[in-house]
Amino acid sequence: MVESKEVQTNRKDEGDSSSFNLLLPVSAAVAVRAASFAYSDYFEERVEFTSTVYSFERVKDGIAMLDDGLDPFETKNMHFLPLTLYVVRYLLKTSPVLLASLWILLDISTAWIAAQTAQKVWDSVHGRDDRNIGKLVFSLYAYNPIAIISTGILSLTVVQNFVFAAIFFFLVSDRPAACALLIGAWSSFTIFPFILISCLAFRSNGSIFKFLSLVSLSIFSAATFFALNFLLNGNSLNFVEPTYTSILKFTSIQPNVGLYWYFFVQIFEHFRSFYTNSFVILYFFMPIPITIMIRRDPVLHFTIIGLLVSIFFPYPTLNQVSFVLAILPLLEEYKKHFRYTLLIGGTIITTIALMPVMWHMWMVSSSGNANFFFGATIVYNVALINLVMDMIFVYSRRQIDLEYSDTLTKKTKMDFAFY
Amino acid sequence: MRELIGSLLVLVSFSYGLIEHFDEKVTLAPVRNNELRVDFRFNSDRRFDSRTEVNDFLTFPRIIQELLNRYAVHKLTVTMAHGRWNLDEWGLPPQPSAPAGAQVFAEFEAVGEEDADERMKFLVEALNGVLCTSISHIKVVTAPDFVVLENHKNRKRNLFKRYGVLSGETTCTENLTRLRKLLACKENGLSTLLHPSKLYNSLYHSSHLVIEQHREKNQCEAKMEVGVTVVMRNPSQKGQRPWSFADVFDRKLGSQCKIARSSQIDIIGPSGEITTTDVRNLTAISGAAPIDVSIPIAAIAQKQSVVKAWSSQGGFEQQHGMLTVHITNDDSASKIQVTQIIPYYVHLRYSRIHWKCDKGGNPSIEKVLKNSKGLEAPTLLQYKMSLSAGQTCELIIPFDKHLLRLEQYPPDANHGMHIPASSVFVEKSQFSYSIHSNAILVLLPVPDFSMPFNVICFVATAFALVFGPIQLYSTLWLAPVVKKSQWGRKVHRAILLVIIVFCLYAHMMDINLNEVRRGIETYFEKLNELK
Repeated sequence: MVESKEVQTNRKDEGDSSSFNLLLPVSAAVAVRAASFAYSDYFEERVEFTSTVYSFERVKDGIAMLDDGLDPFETKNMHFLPLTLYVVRYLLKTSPVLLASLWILLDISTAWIAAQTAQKVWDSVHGRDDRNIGKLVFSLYAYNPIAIISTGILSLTVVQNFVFAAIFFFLVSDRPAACALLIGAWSSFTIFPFILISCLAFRSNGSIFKFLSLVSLSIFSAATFFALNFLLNGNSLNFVEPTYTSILKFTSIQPNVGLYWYFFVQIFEHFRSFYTNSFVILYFFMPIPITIMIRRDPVLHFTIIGLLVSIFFPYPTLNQVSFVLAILPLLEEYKKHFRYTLLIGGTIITTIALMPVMWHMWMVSSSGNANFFFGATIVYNVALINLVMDMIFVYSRRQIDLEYSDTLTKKTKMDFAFY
Repeated sequence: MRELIGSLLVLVSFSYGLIEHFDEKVTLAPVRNNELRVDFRFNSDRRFDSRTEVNDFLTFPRIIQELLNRYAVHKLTVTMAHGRWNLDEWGLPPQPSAPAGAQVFAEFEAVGEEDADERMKFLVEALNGVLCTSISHIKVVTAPDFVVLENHKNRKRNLFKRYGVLSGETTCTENLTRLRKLLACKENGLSTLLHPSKLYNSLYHSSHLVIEQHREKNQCEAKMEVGVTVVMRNPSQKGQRPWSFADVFDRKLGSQCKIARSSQIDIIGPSGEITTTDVRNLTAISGAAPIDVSIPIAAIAQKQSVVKAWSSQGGFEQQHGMLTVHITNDDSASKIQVTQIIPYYVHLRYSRIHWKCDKGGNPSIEKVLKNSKGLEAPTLLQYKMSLSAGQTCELIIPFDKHLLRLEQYPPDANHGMHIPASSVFVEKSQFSYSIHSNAILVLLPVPDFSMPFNVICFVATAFALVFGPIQLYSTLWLAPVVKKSQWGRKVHRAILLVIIVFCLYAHMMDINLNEVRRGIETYFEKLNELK
């Protein structure tokens, strides 16, 4: 929360020098979000928009326990850190209306920061041209129905997307220290974003020492937050098990739109620890080859790592990828090389539309079983994974274009081979 | 001669300071027209001096004494019941009141919480052996703060309490047989009336075993109560004839229990008068000349008013649900303590739990929420409040149903799983009692049990989709290749296309491909022959 204020002041400075007028889009986005609060009843229990670590209803459960003088972490299924509970409790006590407006403010700021940053990236790459990329990015995030609904139900993913945007902003504007602090802070909540630290390899001027000091800065930030949680929880460490361990061990197997839940429902007991460990190791290993591979484009690298964070998080919601999908237009120069754009786009939209249907068939009308909903979620995730893989491909493809630019003409037919 | 030996034994035991008694009693009360309530109570107690204890047992069952000593039990209540006690018509339920299924309440000594958990586990297993139950998978809650059962209301310090309910457990003939085995008179006296064919063919059946042990310096007192309560419908259905033992139990009383201190049959008449028959005073009773009694069929006129409790379930889908416990007070103010066990497969929506009361709104409520340690341990919700006369209160508990791991489901997963009945302890100015509501069957969301391998394959494939390209692109170099002549490839593709088109054609025209193959074979054979 401290960081977020810092970012907001920065945003104002940027906003004044903004080259485009966002007054109308911003007010429209605010209006849509405010309207979505009226329909929060329909969505606050939806499996696509809530999960054990993002559901505001569950935060309320924890707050109710705090109010009753109970220890929330003595009960099961309380996956929120003490800091989250106390901050939201404070906000709810002061004024519930404030909470809604704060959420709207955060979400709009996310869109705004994304727009500003995108414009900056665009200008630095292409020079100032007519394309108003900032406005496009702003609209992609601000009018994304998933983001709107998530604001309406006060999902914690809104805060997360805001931090995501802030990290992107600091990364682009070359402030690696602030970036490292934010990544550390965010990882102290959900651990998985820690691989974003690999993005800072591009901001260390090739010096390993600087990179390591950034890593330790981010670890320091995470440790500070951990200590804060520890102190808030009355010097007790019992919050570690339901929060951190449950994320690293995939203990909560309630349905969500992620990859793991059904797998860990079905897996045989004696293989459970094997798969848990392999998934976690694979996940934390992935950024290393990717960072080595994609050396020349920090924005593409950030997009890929950001997508991986969202896909492989154990308890995601649909809103998790909203920010990354919004900054996709920045990959303009790769556009012609993408192979499965239509397929991926179509799949994502279809599966998102199918999820409520499958859920209804499984849970309400009992005319289908769990495989139906699982099918929709796994195809959705495979589509996102394919998007990541396509990004890795287009990077290699573009390198060829750059390398052989003198010999290749537009009409040259090429085959590819791996050597 | 037998009496002589008996009295000799008693004399010998007196010298050790050992005193044992056995009392038996059956109460028959028509609770409604054509509905008869039968209560058996067998009490056994044993006083001994722990210094001179030599493990002599006259009437007290040795296994109970061993249980008491081995697990340092101070008080243990086990009930087993099926059917539902009709609070409206039948009045106060037998104490300790029993929810449908099995219930265990234990107070015992232990070194610490973990030791207590361990002891409870062994105690439950021992009970399985003694009572022939299968309650090993009972999930117990630790140390309820408020009173759950009437006979466990006294608070003692330094004792560990464990309480558990297993709603799905059914009680059957084996349990009754084992209970009979604990009695001093197994073949004589009132215990011969415990005949399963009638007792289980009834509207309500509950049996309980309460054992306790007090120790004052070296003087020990162990007590055991075995009780069986049955409400049965008039089997003859003829209407106006009074009931006899043969109607009720399918047999007559043909023997006495000689060693019992008291042995009596109480019959409660329509206006509440009690007719007592002392079986020991009957001189000529034998198998040839059994006694019989005449039990009126008319219901008891005045009924004791009781607090009523029942549970209901709301929600229509398999994800969210709502448990509502309704409690209606009788016509005088009372203090109640409500206990609800929430099993692990249901997630409490804590912020939405609330009480709704009519008549004067919500009284002040004390609340306790406790979580027991362990992965599958249940949560305990307890409330303490006072109700004014005739007030109705509803405790509304919204919950989410959990998806469980494959091996956590019972074999018949689609049957659903139970949320145990809530217990209500009622305290009036002169007396107190406990009642139970009904258990709730919750339909949990179930995964597809038939195809774990498919799911594992799909998810593993998704991971392979990530790992494959990353490995490929990071270890190899993508480079352009100048295209060479493509003729071979094109021919290959054309052949493939022709085959596919032919197959489709064959499919459409219902041509059997095997026949085609055989046709080609014969054609080739002919070609060979031509050579």
